[in-house]
Amino acid sequence: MRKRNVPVSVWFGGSITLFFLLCSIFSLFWTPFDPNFVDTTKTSLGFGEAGHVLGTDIIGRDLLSGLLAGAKMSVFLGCVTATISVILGTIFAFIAVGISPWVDEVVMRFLDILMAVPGVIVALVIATVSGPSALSTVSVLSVFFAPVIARVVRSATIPLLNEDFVQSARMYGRGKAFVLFRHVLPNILSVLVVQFSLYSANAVLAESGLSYLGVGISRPQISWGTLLKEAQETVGPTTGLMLWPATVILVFVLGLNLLGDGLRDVMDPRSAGRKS
Amino acid sequence: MKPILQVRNFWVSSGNLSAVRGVDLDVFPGQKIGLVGESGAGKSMFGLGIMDLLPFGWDAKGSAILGDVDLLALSEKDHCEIRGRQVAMVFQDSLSALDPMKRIGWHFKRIVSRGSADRAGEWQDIAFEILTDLGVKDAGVTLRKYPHQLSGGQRQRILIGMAVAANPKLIIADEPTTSVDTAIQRNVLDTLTAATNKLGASLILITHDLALVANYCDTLAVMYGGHLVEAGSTREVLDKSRHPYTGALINSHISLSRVISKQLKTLPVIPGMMPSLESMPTGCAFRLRCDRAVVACEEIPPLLNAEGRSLRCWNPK
Amino acid sequence: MIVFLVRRLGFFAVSVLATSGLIFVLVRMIGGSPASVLLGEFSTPEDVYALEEQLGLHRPMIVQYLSWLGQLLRGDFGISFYSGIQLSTLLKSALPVSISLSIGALTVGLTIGIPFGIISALRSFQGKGSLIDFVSQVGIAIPIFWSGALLSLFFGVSLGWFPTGGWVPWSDAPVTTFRHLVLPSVTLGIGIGSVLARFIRTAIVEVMRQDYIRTGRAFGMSVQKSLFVVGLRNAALPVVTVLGNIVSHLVGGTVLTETLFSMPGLSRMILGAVVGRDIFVVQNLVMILILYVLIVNLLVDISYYLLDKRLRI
Repeated sequence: MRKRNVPVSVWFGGSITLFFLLCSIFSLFWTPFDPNFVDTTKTSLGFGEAGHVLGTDIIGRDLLSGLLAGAKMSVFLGCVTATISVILGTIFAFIAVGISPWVDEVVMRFLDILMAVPGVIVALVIATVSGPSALSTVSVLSVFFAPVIARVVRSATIPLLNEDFVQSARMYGRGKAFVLFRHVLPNILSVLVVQFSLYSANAVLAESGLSYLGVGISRPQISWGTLLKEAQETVGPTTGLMLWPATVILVFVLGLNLLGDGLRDVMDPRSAGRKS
Repeated sequence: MKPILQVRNFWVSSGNLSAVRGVDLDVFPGQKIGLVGESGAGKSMFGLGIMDLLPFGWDAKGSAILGDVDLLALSEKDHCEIRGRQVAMVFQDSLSALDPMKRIGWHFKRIVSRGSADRAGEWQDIAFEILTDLGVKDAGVTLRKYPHQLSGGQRQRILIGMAVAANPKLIIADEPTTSVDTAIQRNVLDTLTAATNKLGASLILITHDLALVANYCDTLAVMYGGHLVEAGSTREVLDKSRHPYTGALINSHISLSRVISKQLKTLPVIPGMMPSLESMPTGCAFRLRCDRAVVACEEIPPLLNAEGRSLRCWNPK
Repeated sequence: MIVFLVRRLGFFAVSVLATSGLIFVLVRMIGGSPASVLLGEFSTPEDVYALEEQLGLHRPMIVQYLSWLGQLLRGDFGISFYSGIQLSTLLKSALPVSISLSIGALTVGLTIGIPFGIISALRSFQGKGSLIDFVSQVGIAIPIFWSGALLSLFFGVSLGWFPTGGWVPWSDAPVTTFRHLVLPSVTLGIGIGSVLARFIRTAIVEVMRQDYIRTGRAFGMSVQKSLFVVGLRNAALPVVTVLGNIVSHLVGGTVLTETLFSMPGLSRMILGAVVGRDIFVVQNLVMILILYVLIVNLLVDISYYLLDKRLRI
């Protein structure tokens, strides 16, 4: 019986992620103030003044509430994007692997092209024509994350296809699609979980970036990126107004990355680069 | 005569697992020892352990004296001095053993020019001569090629040539014919033994093929489950083997021709499989498959060395 | 060799067609006619139709597509709908900024990434844990706005060493320009350096596990020498492949960094056009960026082919 040491990163990353998840859910029910409530009598307050734990922005909106509301949106979008990407990526990989080597070549080339293009750029185009929104953000990001995930899923699937249990299923006349979904999928679930975790992190980063540039979410919907944008436009990048959302993003992304990397090390010790 | 290598109670372990468990071995000048065993018996690890080239996480214990030097007490720097000078190794997979980005000549140049400036100038001639002696046609052209452009047999000869170029006192060949076509296996071994003789060096031939040892080695050592179970002159051990495993091994090797000539109805098989490192039984490693096992076998039998024979068995024949 | 070149160039051509096609379609199909986008919410259908006619939007799609490609090839990038200025003119002042930033960031990234990667690989091979490894892992996750904001705050505001925004052309006052470049380059460079360090480490560790390293050691090479003489050279190969990836990352990062530090580069042009719904400007600028990335990838693939002896039979 092989003993597996669960690395520190899993616990650490996992608790951070959990904390943020709880905050988002919590904020569905209550925030200290209405994050969109403008109070021109209480502008640019500092730490802890007038009951605002983290202060207010230039038109008096509470920062802490903004962060909590942003958590809701960012976490949600992150998860949705990651889910869609993972599903898309898996479908691409299965199509590539399951039909014929020729299709495999074509699909992989197509994905290569997709990977070369920076998704941010295409998001800009869509934002121009249809106006920035949550939907456009999610769709663009999912499409551009999917190719890399497809690659990972594909490399995980190919060795499995040569395994005995797959061969025997095929011998019993099961179709390729059936084999893929019923037999292969459960075995690569761990790979998918890791990718989901890592790409949620990427999605949050990307969404924040896009909203920061003004092509993502905008008020009255709040995400951490919008908070960043407002900070940049009003007081400039060197104040707490920007540092708070930025730090929050950093911690959350770090947590997710640690969790994902840690899970990956648990499942495939070789990739940890140490003892074999 | 003093042995060039004296190994006592040699262990190779990683944490709780041991691939080599207490091997004693003497290597005399000019001797050719065939180290035989199934996959996983520990013979490769033994060879790597002597050279201190074990994979990360594995360590060697015991004593291995090369000439006057205690190999296990050496620093990495001192080991580098010995490797490729007094001891040389021929690896199993010739394709992965050579740097794919470098020409064959580069490999030779590095070995020949080590520590000797005048040899450095003549490395090409030296390499040419060695390869030609080994039967490589168009040695000059071969030197300029990349590993993947050559056949397996040619590459194996190059590995042997590299060992020869090092001018060692001891050559350790780890399964040099396993990834080579059966048709040229004999050929490769002819080359290896001829080269060894020419150098006046000793050879440890690690293999699972008993027939090769029978034809090319004067000494036979059998390993099973990390233990050295029997050793002695090839003639003697093959004629009168004493360990049950050795007997069964010999039996399964010579039986093919007897099946074909209808002397035997079926191939004799040793029931079961060699246990993995994690599921090694207590006591004698062969105990569960042995038809001569007795209660005493639940304790590991000691390795007894007498009159040039070694034996590790409570109940030998 | 020829076969490879032909195939790769063919792939390049297909990529260009595919991406330009994608952009072309996106611009025309989503959110209604480009003309209505340009004119905004309060335009009348007659205005929209007139503009469409003027812009040649009633020609067959194929004709529009080909004529657009032709324009790009000739270097005619169009005119901003709002300012009426030629794009090429605007580019002349914006490109130097973006290029300087890219070069600066790459310099910082390489300077940090390569040594970090090598050291962390060496330590991993010797069995010791690595603080550097952890740091580079963190470095990858750091969002640009965070490090940028922090660096600005510390070096820009508190210490006052470097300006936190704005730009001065090279021709005017090179020293000042350089000072303007420092903070943004470091900010962007940290991210790139971390990715590079991580990748180099993995590549080296992977190479060091190969059998031919063991052969080298069997003939007397020390571990250190193995790494530096053989390991690095063989690890350079996979690292080259990641360069294309890094360039892609660089483009996205440049956009964020330029915004953060209020630099008048390419990204400000694009963002301005996005906000102003100057759709054709966005279209052309995006296409230029994509072409740039595709060309870099092409060059990377070709150099990889030239370097990897195994591909030459």
